[in-house]
Amino acid sequence: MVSLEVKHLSKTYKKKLVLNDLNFTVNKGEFLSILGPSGCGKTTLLKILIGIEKSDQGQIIKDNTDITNFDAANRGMGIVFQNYALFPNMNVLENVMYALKIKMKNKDKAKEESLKILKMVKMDQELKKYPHELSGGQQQRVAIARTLVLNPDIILFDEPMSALDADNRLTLRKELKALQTKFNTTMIYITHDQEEAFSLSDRVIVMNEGVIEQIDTPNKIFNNPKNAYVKNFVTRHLIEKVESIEKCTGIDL
Amino acid sequence: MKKFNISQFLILIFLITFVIFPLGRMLLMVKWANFGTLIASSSFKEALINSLLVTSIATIIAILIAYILAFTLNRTNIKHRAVLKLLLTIPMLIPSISHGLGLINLFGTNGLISKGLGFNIIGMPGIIIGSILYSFPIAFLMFDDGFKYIDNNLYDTAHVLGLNKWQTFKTVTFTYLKKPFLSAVFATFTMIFTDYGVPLAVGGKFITLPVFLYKEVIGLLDFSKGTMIGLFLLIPALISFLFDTFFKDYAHNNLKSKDYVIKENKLRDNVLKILTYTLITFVFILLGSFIYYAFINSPVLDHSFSLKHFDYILANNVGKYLFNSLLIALLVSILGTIIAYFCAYETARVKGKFSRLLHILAIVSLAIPGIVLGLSFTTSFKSTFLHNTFTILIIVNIIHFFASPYLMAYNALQKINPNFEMVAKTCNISLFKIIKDVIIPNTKITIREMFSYFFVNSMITISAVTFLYNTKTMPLALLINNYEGNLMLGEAAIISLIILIINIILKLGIYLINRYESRKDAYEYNI
Amino acid sequence: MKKLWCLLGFLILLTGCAKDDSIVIYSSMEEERNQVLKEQLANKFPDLDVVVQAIATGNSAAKIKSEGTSVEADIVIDLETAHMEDIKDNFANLSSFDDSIYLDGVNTEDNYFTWVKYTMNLIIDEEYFQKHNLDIPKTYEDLLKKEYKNLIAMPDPKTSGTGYAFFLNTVNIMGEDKAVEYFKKLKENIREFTTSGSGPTNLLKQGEIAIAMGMTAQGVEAINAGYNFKIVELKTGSPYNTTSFGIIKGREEKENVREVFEWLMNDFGKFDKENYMPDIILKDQNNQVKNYPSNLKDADMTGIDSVSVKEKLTEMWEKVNG
Repeated sequence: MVSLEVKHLSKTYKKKLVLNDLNFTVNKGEFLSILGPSGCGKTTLLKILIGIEKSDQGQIIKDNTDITNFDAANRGMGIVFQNYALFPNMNVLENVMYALKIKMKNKDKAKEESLKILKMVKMDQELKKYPHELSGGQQQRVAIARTLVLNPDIILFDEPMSALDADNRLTLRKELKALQTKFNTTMIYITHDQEEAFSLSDRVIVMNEGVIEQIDTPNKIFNNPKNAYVKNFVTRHLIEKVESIEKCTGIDL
Repeated sequence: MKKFNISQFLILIFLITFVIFPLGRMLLMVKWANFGTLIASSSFKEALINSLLVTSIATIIAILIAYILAFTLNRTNIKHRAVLKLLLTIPMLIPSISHGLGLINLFGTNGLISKGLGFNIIGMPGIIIGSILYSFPIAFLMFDDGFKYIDNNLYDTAHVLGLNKWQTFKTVTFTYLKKPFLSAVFATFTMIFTDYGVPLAVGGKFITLPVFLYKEVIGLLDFSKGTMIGLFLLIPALISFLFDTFFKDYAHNNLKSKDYVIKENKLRDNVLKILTYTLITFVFILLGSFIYYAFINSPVLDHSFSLKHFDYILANNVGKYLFNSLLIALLVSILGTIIAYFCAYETARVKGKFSRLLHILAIVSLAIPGIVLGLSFTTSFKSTFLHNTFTILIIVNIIHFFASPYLMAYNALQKINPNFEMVAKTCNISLFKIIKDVIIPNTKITIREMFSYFFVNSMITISAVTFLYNTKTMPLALLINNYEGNLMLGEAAIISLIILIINIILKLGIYLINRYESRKDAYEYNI
Repeated sequence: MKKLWCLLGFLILLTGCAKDDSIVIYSSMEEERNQVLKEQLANKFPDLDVVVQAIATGNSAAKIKSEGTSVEADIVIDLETAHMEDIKDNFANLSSFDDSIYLDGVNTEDNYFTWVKYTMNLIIDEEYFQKHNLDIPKTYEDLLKKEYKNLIAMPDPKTSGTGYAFFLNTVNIMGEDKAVEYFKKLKENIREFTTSGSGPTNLLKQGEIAIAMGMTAQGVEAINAGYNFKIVELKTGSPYNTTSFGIIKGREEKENVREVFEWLMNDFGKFDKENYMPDIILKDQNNQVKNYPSNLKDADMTGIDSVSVKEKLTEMWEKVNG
């Protein structure tokens, strides 16, 4: 079932065509990554999807409703930023409760809901801690909890793991995947890390300079790259990996 | 977001009405035909040269002292840093004219110290010393702040690369301190160049430009000539302001830096400690002279203990003037902080097509000497309802002191995570709520600093308000001019002390609040 | 947050609180005379709120010139006559007031009356002179002697009527160019050109100088207070000047202003002159000031009341570099 449909989306910024006639769909419960190098337009795309910026052309249709001109608050989407943007002056519980409290106008109910979600992301033992006392991974979990508690249909991620070290990234990838399966929320994930995109996603959109090069499952992209760019992009990482293994082990693969 | 931004618009209107309009109007009233005569006149030339000479010397010495102090507090193992810092900024808490009076008390022809030693500092030396006294704390604070943003990893790098002390200073310290250093130089120069309190008290026949302006306006009622002279006072301030706006400062991009490891050096520490304490002692001797003069009958005739000066000021409504000053200072602080904060919010976080203009307007008040601002307000608003009210005094003070608190807020707001507003948007939280619940709590310290800056400066200012007050609204500081003119040094000393005590109470209060809060929430420093 | 708004509102309300039925007097007299005025006002008009605002003569004139008839002052006293001339259009016509208390010819204008005439002389620190064995100056030329270096103070002719009077006198004696030359040389010995007329006497009291070119009355007051000073009249006589007083145009209709003005002229004014500024301008003036020199002769003050002369001389003063 199609949850989100993007049709002929274009955006020009300072005379440069940042997004060039994008067309794609996102299925319900799907984990979709948008993969590309810095400057390819993926962050702009994210901002337009979530409603912080407006496209010059095109439509966004969610659950059969045209939300192109909807306010960010009314799109039923949540967002997790690269630096998580947790409120530094509130503890874990307060961070998660904040928006819900305003929406529900009932502090106790909001607290109840928040505790539920926090338990699910395994942060219920750190309720009184402040963001600066949490590790990067813990902060990410709280950031996700903060969006989940508002029950969005789609959660967008803006390169949330780029600030973490390799170990943490692996752990968090596993957790994120587990959460997605549990909540069955549609997730759109922006990243420049091919390994990350491939390991997490059901499908991947490979983007380059405002254009979609290929949309497919990781497997298909890997085995059937549509064009030279995709091929290079994918294999380059693989080659780097092989080279580093060769160096470490001394074996010529 | 091209929506019409009403708060930006309102602040813009406010700044245009009270900065551009009065200045423009004043400039239009100038009789430009006389400009040539003015700059050719020998008294003008003398005043200009005197000003340049005395300001240059005082600036160099003040900057040197300020740097040494900042170095001492940041790079040596001296104890009680916070207390020393507080003590060193005490000279900022009294009007500049009080510094002049204090110097006369100590070093005038009949001064407490100079009488026995047979010299006096009236004239150029007096102006230099007095100017250094009120300007070094401000330069010191700028350097002190600058030290905080140096990336200390670079020192290790320099060490590894084998750079010697001088090279390290050049490539690391000075690179980061360049902007604060130049800012401090310009700010100090401008401050001293445009001050008339010290030269009036202690300058003797050594006339400087601001005194020349004052005499033209007060003596000859020549507003046109006064404005033309005022233009010259604007020049260093304008340069200072242009520099601040356009000079890139990459030091402030450093959010986290590891702590500098201070090396052991007992000799260095002891020498600098002595210098620091000597300076503080000198400041306290100056304040002590006020206390002395407050309690003696007469400085020349009879040094016996007397409370008559206290009796006099109590019998002459000191309470009313104190009330006026407090009322003005409080309203200036509250309203000024709010306006400056929201202005900075607009330019630092909202941006938009007016934000560049807003930014420049907000800082341009740095460039306008108080006496010129006051003059422009008088000529522009005298036939309006603002005339002779507290309101106009409050507004002129807000404008006069706007730039620094605005920049404090601007810098703080820029550092806050830029995504909070987007989080708010996507979670359907109103902008107002997110400002109230997240942005403001995370800039609490800055807000308190802004409040403190507005308050202290409102209490000590005499320049802008000197043309705008009337019997009902007269602030306390202006009494000092009155008493000094009548040789009532005891009374002048008492008023200076009252202002000092009130400012100390405020600063102490804010200091204690900050300390209490930093123990409660450590988050303030970890945005 | 609510507390903040309440506080703000309260403070703003406070700014509006001010009585508006008070009568405001701008006075350029010294503190002591102002004090006496306040006391006598309280006695004579206990039910009225009369505010005496001390304000230097230059400031007073500047405010009136800038604000016109909307200035807060209702009555202005002790304003340098030259300033008053300049701004007299802001003052009410006084022909309905009876100024017969004055000697004939003293009041020549419709918009203001003379407040005081004051002479000026050298006031010297006798103790200093004796200690350093200095000769007492007798002429302007004497003041140029090297032994007086940095020991003299004179009010600035630009800002003080006293200073201007000295200057005008020397111009009348020596001629314009020689007078400028003279002051250029005298500057060597001058410690300061003070802003106010009482500046030199104040510096003398502080022990900062030894010769004050100042008001006779202030010198005498200091002597009576115990300072070891002496009044020295130059051979060319005592320069003099006058101050004036008046009612701001429109305020003569304000309640009680007429009454207060008349009292100022006839009662306090007389008291003030007899006790502080004894140079005779009233018909029946019994001076009470002890030790006031009784045989001062007027110096040549031609042009003292002329605005055009003042403008010309002020421009000339620029050449003295001061």
